[in-house]
Order: sequence, then structure tokens, then C-alpha cells
Amino acid sequence: MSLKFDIVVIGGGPAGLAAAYELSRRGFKTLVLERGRRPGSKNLYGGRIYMSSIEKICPELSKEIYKLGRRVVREVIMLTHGGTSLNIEIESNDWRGGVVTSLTRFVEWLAQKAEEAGACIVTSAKVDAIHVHGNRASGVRCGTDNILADVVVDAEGVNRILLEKAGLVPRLSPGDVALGVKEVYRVDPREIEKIFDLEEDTGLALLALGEVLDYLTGGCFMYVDKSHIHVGAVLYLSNYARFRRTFPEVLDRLYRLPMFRKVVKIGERVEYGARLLPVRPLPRAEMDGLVTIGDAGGYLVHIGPIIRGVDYAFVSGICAGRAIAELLEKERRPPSLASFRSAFNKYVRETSLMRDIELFKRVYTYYEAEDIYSRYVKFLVDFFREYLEVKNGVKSLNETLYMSMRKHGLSIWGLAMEYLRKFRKM
Amino acid sequence: MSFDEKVRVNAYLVHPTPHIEVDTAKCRTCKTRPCLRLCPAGCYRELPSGEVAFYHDACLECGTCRIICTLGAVRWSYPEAGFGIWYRFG
Ligand SMILES: Cc1cc2nc3c(=O)[nH]c(=O)nc-3n(C[C@H](O)[C@H](O)[C@H](O)COP(=O)(O)OP(=O)(O)OC[C@H]3O[C@@H](n4cnc5c(N)ncnc54)[C@H](O)[C@@H]3O)c2cc1C
Repeated sequence: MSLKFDIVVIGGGPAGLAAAYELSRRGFKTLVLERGRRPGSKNLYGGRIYMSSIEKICPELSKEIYKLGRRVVREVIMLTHGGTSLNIEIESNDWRGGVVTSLTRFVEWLAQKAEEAGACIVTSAKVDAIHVHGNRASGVRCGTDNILADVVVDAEGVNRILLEKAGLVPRLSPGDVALGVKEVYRVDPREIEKIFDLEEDTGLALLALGEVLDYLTGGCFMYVDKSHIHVGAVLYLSNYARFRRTFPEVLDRLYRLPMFRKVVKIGERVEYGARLLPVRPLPRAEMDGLVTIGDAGGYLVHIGPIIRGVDYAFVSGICAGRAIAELLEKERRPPSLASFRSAFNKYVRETSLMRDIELFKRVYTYYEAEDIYSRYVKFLVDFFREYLEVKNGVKSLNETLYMSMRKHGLSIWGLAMEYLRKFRKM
Repeated sequence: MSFDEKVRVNAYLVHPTPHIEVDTAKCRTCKTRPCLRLCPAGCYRELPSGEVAFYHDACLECGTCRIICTLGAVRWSYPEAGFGIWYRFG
């Protein structure tokens, strides 16, 4: 069977649904094809959606997003070594740390918004190929159906099976991604508020590095949601060969740390999931008639502890929707790639997305350096422990600093060089 | 906790035919077998005979095996439309 739409969107995740929402609102016949049985059933992430760009670009929706979860008011960075953890905690009532929510819940909500705007969302529909005629994408094949469209929007996520198949992007390599594995615990909200000292609508985000992941590049996380707590581990696959454990082992060992032990004690484990996460800027594939957004378009920014995946998937979807709508209204024919790019850039400029991607491209290699996760973590934990613990006589700050640096092969001179070479750029 | 215990709490709609095909003859020559440790669902197991076996039921569709297998033994795809893992929280 052959069908014709103005726009066909591959993948009903945060990116694809945001594009469909915007395009349908503007009156375009938009079809979303999602392989999962329901919207949200294939989507998984850590736990937090940053809000600043969403607020700027879609103020009407951002208020509703806040209601989906807890506002982050506290962040904790935990450096772990030798059974000791050094926690850096920052808390403020007007902290702009985004919202902790379940991604399935977020995607279900966004699908509803897109449907209300008039989008046609078909679930249990797996796209098999993108049709390319000459230099132009003309539609998709989904089972026995051929769907024609003026614009194909690819929002298939990090595993770019269709783009790889079409020869538009190189094969994903281990160095491009990290593997994230997580568990969700169901907890009574009142219990959460009591144990973590939170209000009805406030939450927290926690990241742990060092020993928790055998000092490898990556870390562990905890996000406190309305009535759920998300806990997981993220391992850069560039060093997969040196990973000597299994993920169940990593998680179970994590639960020995007091902060994480609480969760297991008060919660009921309800889900175990995994997904890949880009840690390098992925090259973008576009052509006349084909627009790529979200993870598939390389619009994820991952800089140290900050992952902007869902908010930038959303922003790239909304801006792509605006650009396509403007061009279809103005030109009344399928837009060229060049005109799409300039319209997209105009809309996306309202946000920090492109600037963040430029920064990401410049600094990502520095965050792959294992030193950060091993030597520096060990040094900091040891130093604070030596300095603050009273085992015998009190030690001077200088002496402790010097001893701890020496123990981990660091020197002021070396650090200064390192600063000039790397940290300055980070 | 074992892999099986970890995935036990999940919801799945398992399709009878595996969506991933593994050419286990190639695994015979593989010394490192990273899939055994890295597949978060433990879909790859070493049999007592030393062979690698693949079971698709618990697959989380993450795509790790697709990119870490250097021998090209993994023919990867998503499950049939509507099947596979069903995340309720994500
Ligand atoms: C461990 C981990 C932690 C993370 N933490 C955070 C975080 O805290 N905050 C944050 O903002 N981001 C986080 N991210 C990143 C975030 O998950 C992604 O950036 C985001 O989900 C991207 O959205 P998307 O719509 O581009 O892709 P996806 O969410 O992957 O959606 C793609 C959709 O396309 C569908 N699909 C794929 N192929 C086909 C096909 N052939 N036919 C039909 N449908 C198809 C899929 O079923 C899916 O629904 C994390 C990621 C991981 C792995």
C-alpha cells in the first residue's frame, strides 16, 4: 500500500514527538512511526531533563513538564576510593537543575500533546528503510507499506540502523558511546521526602566516580523522582576491554554505599534496563528531503557530569518542525537542504544548543582521560581523609597535601602543565 | 544478583524468533569474548562445552553487542514491531 503525508517521522521518542507536535500544530499532515507497542515503551535514560532551553523555546509546555516530576534543588558529586567517599554537595532553592522524571512518562505525555495537535502516531510500526531517489529522500518503507512524504524526519535514536543502512553515516564504534545500565525502585513519596529531606516537589541528582566503576571512565548515578528512584552505571565503551565485571556486579556493589543502600532498603525494584549514550559528537547526516534530529542527528551534548540528551532532542525536534513548516508554507514545495539548514539555524539560535555542540567537539577527548577517574579521584579522597581524620597527631595542610600528591604521582609542576594542556580548555 | 534475577522484574513481549543472529562458529576463535561480560542482560552465555550460546528473551535492545563484536559474528536488528522489552519507567 502507498500512503502520502506531508511529513513522516521515524521514531516516537522525545525528538520525533516534539517535531510532530510542532508540525501538526501548524496544520501539516504528520505521521509518526514507532516500533514500540506504546509511546515510551522503548525509551530509557538516566533521570533528569534540563529545562532552560525548553523554557525558552516552548514556554507553554515547560510548566507541564515540571508537573511530571521533581525539580532538582540539590546535586551531589561523589568521589569514591578505598571504601571512602568525598561528597561535594550543592543546594539552593532556586537551583536550575531541571526535572527528575521517568522517560516513559515524559514520552507518553509528549505523545498525547502531539496527538491533540493532530499528529497521527502509529505504534508497533518498525521502519525498514528510507527511500532515496537520486539525491532526495522521498519516504520510508514500513513492512509492506510505502509511505511517501515531502520531508522524512529521522529520529531513530543512537543506534542509527536506518542511516547506516542507507550509507549516510559510518558504523557506530565502541569509542563513540557509553553503555548505561539502570534500575528503577518504587518508593513511597513521603518516605523519599523524609529520607532525603526534600519537599513534595523537589528532588536531587547524584553522580559517583572512581572506585564505584573500578576507576574506569564513566560513573554511577542516582536521580530522585516523585515516587521512583533511578540508579545506574555508565561505562565508556572505549575501555570495555578493561572492564572485568558484569553490570549486575557493579550495581550490587554500588548498593553497599550508604546513600544507595537507603534506596534498596526502602524501595521495591521494578525495572532493569540499558541503552547506549553518545560520548563523542556523532557526525550528522542530512540530504534534500531528509532531516535528522535528537540522538540520530548528533544533537546530544555530554560534557563531564552534564548530559543534555532529552532537552536537546526536544529542542532539535521543535526547531526542525518550525523550519520545515516555515519553508513548506513559503515555498509550497519540498524544501532543499540548504534552505532547511538556514531556517533551522535561525530557530535554534534562541537556545544554547549549537554553542554547546561546538564546546562538546572541543573538549570531549579530555573527559575520556582515565586520570580524572582514577588518579585525581584517589588523590582528592586520600588528601581529605588524611587531613580531616584524627588518628594521632594533627597534620599540617601543606604536609598532607604534599604527601597525598606524592602518593599518587602528582606534583604542583605537573598539575600546572596539565592545567595548561587540558583543564584550561575544559 | 544474577542476570536472570536482574531482568526478572521487567515486562517483555518475546517474539518466538530471535531478532539477533549470532554466528557462534566465529565465537570459537574469539579469545576475549567481551559479550559475556558486557551484555547487560546476560544474553550471551558460555556453555560447559566452551561454545557461546545466545538467548534473545532478555535482550534490552541496547546495541552493545553490535559494536563490540570485532569478529562480525552478530547480525543485529530490533525485534519485530511491537515485540521485545516494554519499559514502564525508562
Ligand atoms: C544511561 C543513560 C543516561 C542518560 N541520562 C540522561 C539524562 O539524565 N538526561 C538527558 O537529558 N538525557 C540523558 N540520556 C540521553 C537520552 O536518553 C537521549 O538523548 C534521548 O533519549 C534521545 O531522544 P531521541 O528521541 O533522539 O531518541 P530515543 O529516545 O532513542 O527514541 C528513538 C525512538 O525511535 C524508535 N525507533 C528506532 N528505530 C525505529 C524504526 N526503525 N522504526 C520505528 N521506530 C524506531 C525507538 O523505539 C524510540 O522510541 C541518557 C542516556 C543513557 C543511555
